[in-house]
Amino acid sequence: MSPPLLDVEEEGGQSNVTLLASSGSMDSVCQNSAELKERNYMGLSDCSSVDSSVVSAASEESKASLNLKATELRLGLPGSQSPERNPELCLLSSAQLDEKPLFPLHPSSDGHCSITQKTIVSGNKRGFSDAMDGFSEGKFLPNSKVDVMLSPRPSSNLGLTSGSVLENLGAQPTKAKEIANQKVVQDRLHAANETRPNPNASANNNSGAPATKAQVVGWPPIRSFRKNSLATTSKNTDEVDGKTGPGALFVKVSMNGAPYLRKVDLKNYSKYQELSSALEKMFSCFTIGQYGSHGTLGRELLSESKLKDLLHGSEYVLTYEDKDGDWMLVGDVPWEMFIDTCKRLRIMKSSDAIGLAPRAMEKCRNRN
Amino acid sequence: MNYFPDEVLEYVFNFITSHNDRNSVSLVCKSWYKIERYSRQRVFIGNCYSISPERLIARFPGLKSLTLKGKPHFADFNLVPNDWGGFVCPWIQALAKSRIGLEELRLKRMVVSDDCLELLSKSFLNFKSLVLVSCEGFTTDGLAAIAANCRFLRELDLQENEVEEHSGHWLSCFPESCTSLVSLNFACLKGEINLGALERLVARSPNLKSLRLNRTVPLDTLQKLLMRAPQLVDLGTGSYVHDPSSEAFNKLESAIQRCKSIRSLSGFLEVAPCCMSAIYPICPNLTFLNLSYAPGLHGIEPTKLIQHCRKLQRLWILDCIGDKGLGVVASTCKELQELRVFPSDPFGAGNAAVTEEGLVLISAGCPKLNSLLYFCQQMTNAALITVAKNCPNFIRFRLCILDPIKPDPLTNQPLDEGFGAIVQSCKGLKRLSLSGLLTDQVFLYIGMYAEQLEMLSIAFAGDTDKGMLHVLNGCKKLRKLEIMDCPFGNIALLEDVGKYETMRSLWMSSCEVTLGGCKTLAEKMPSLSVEIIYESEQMEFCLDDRQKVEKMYLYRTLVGHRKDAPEFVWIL
Repeated sequence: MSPPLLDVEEEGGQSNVTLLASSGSMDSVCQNSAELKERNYMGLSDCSSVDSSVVSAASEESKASLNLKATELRLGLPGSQSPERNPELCLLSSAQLDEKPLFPLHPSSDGHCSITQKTIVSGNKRGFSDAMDGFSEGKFLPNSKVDVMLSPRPSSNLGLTSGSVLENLGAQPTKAKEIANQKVVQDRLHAANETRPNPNASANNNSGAPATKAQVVGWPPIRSFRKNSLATTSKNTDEVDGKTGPGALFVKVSMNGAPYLRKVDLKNYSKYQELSSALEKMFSCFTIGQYGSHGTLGRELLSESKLKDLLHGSEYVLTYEDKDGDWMLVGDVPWEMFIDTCKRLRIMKSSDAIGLAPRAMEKCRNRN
Repeated sequence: MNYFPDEVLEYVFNFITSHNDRNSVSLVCKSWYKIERYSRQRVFIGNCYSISPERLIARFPGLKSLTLKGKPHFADFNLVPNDWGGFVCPWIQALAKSRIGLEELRLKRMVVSDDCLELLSKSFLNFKSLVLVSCEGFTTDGLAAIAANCRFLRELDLQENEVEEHSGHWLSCFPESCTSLVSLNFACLKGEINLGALERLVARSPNLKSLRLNRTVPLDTLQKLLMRAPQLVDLGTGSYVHDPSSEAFNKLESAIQRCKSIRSLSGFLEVAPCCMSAIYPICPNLTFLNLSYAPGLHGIEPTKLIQHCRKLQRLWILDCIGDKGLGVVASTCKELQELRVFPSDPFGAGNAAVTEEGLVLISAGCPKLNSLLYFCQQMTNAALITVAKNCPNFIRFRLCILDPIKPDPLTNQPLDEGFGAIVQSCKGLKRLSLSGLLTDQVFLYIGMYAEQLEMLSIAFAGDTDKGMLHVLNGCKKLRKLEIMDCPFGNIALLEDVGKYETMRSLWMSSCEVTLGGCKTLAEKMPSLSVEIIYESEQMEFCLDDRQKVEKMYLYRTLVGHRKDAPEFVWIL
């Protein structure tokens, strides 16, 4: 009787617990690790809250799992061996690594398992999560934070043998495989659930909103022409206000003296800097003024409103019209709030923008 | 074999048109080879790097029509970096220098430049037909050259290309003397064209059978065009938005009713559902309907339309039609042979869309179904087994479960049994794409039963090297194998290196093959080109043989390593 696989939609994977025949402590480890796992796939911003929870859980878990590691078989992520193998990986990743218990192993098979563990762990399957990580490293996360989960290759050369090792295990290879598969499925689905692809490419998540939404390159297998075309079509039909189409949030960008309007999809960006560079390329002669560092705003607001662009004296500034119809300076509010309220963007001369800042501050205070 | 004079043999060979048959004929004996080669007019080259233009020209001096494919299939899904290759210029240059009277050029996934379009347009007096599918690298200036210089142009067919658009002027470059157009498809262009020029062009093209407009062509222009060309067989609308109570719309209704020959309908990139009623009169004649670019038609609109299309043989739609909508298709379109259901929201949360239920309904209602592309949220083994029983005639079966490793939601089992049933039942299956949770078992089935399989696409599937080995050993007719994110490694890759000479190409990305494995393969098989495609960060790692290879593309070739490979491609 194979253990029931968790409902694939469920996040958190409570039924990790059911697959482990061993101890209660194992169960609790698993639960923690399930939660851990959830977090790990979130955008690893400088939200220290995430870091600290992971750290504490890691230390607690590593104590409990000292013996249990030996009995754990992991079809894991690349780089998912014990930390000493990949010293450059940060604690976050190692914490994540430890928590993939897969096999309900009988104590008698412990011997097998400790030997096999490492080989298996090095990534028999490049699961969905691997794929997403691997891809996100190169493509979707210019921010280096999620790199910790990746370093796709050094560890994985053992992957070859892992398949055969699996077969050697235990008296019920087929059942074990089935269980392993289910568990891998579970892992992959966790990854999939947590990293459920965002409608739009960029996968960073500064504000700690649920799930790094990375897209796996090459999946789903739809021609980019078709993908882009659907996005354009829905943009046209959902028109002016930047109403959300299937995952797109287009707003018009106008610039004084420019002969045409452009439209940008705000969902393609996760922070002001990205928007700034994109618009820069588009209009190539403006920069976002530096209005970010308001000391009174909260910590996370500060980090988001820090714009890379340091040209204080730039000729142009980026402003936006919000839901109330007021024109505000871009960069004053948290990114999430910004894309919620922004209806239209406008690039105007700094001289025209005088007087916008105080209003922005006031509004922020009111919101907070 | 010399019972007949050459002329008689040549006459007989003229009736042999399929490329495969022609190839077979040429292998019989030297004299047949010679006769065949002089009389061959159409050549298909599935991998532009497998042969050189010079050798093509030397062998087939009577060449009139050339089809070339460039980048590997997975380039469609952004897995191949730009500038990888697939340049058509060397081909056009070589052909231009020769005495070949090229009349038709069909390109897929190739890089085409404006210069070579211009060269093409000026080098071949009788050039008639240009078909570009999924190509890139050219602008509307290149199109202008084609329009202006190809005096006898019959066909300009642009499908899903990435075109840099400088202006819409290109369409105005067709000279007044050009009256030979049979097919014009510029639906993939985004920019505006001169509507007056378009109307005049259509008016002076009495042979025009196929016209596919882009989204900037408004409905009232469509009406005028249809008045000029009631003989159209294939129509792609532009913007299909208007006030249904207006004069223009009434005119459109009457214009459409005169178009009794339309069998194929597409477009609707912008659409107002209230205008669809004008289409109903031609629906009973339609054999091909493509609504896959029309997300503006939601709810029951597509279904309402399809209910009038009893003769439909090919249907391309979006998944917002839902399972119920597919049920309507199943009960209406008894002649259906090809169905493609595309996702309207590929990265969305997964509401609506279609499931296995829709597919089962289709299979029950449309026994002639032989080609399927189906993007869905989930699939069950039971459904696939039912489909296999209902439709044993599949030639192409491509199933894409959007969550790539999803098991059967009813049983939580992998989908091995379901796909196994498909390959066992569909003895003529030539193309298969798998998805969902799959183990080595499905590959065992494929190797055992898929005897006619020519192309297999796999992602996130399998457990061990055995999976890939089952396929390589079992599928004797395999030509193209493309694998992403599977645990197949060197053992599978190297077991039977001779196999790859019988295939066109093999793509493996994010698998377990190492650089060492690829090097071994390249050493053993000099007739293969083994390409390693690097992402830029990996360049430093490239010297370690134990390093896993991110992307490997290998293909058989008669002309050695290509000289135009960019920096990030390493040919072993």
